[in-house]
Amino acid sequence: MFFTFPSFEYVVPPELKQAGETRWRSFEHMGQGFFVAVMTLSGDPPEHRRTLLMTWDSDLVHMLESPKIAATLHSLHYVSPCQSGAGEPLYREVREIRRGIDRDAGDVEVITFKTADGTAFCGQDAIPVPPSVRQDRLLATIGPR
Amino acid sequence: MFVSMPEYQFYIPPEIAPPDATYWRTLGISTCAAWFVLSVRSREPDALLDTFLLAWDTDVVGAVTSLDADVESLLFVAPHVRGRKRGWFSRQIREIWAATDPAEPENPALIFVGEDGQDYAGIFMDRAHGFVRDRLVARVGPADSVRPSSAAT
Repeated sequence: MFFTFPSFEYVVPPELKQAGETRWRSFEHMGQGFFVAVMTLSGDPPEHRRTLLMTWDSDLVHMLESPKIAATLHSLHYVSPCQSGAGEPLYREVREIRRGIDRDAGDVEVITFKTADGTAFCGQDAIPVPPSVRQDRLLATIGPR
Repeated sequence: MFVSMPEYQFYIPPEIAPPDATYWRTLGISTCAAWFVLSVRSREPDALLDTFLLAWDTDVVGAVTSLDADVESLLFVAPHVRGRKRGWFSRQIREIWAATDPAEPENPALIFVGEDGQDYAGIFMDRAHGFVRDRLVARVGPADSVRPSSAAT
């Protein structure tokens, strides 16, 4: 999750931003997240790069499955020092994102990720992919940069 | 600059949140410029790490020089602005230097020394060719794991 305070807001004239959005210089971040760059087919110009920082894998998948997304350009998975177990943050490039189901959990849907170092993990807490998970539909492949 | 959108706000009861804090599931990036992920550990006993996303290099320096904390990790994420590559690249930072860019000596500059030993600077984190190192601002990481880069010139 990201959080911030009013003193970090960067005031931009309304005509220079979209309705409802607020701009900020700084956030604090807890837990894990995804830094994702995509090429969209909407906006002005019609095809342009958009970068998002996301904490929920479900939000990430919702975006990737949108018909307005033409390509996923870059995805970096970030794990906070508290969660990584190593005492320092963990950053790893995501190469593949898939939908799957966990047969031992009532066929619940899971999202699986494969990283550049060969690690595979799934879910909001980035746990190792259990053998009971059947990986199905490929959502994105992301080449090395 | 980071951009929040109302549909991604996450409600946290005020009783368990710091005063005036707002929480978000997703943020956008409004500019194609480098941004930073800074992790610091307070010097209080049993302190946890705090992680900040910062849009400006000058705010990174402001944070590392003003917080009563050890800088445990600093990463920049920067856009590919040359060549055919698209997307972003990232580097762990080991040192920050106040510097002078001979092309713009009137403007204070910063150099970020990556774990790859390269110097990076500017809003796109280009390679900092010809910059003159003036003053070490901060070393990043546990002291026994950080070797100083080449001496100031």
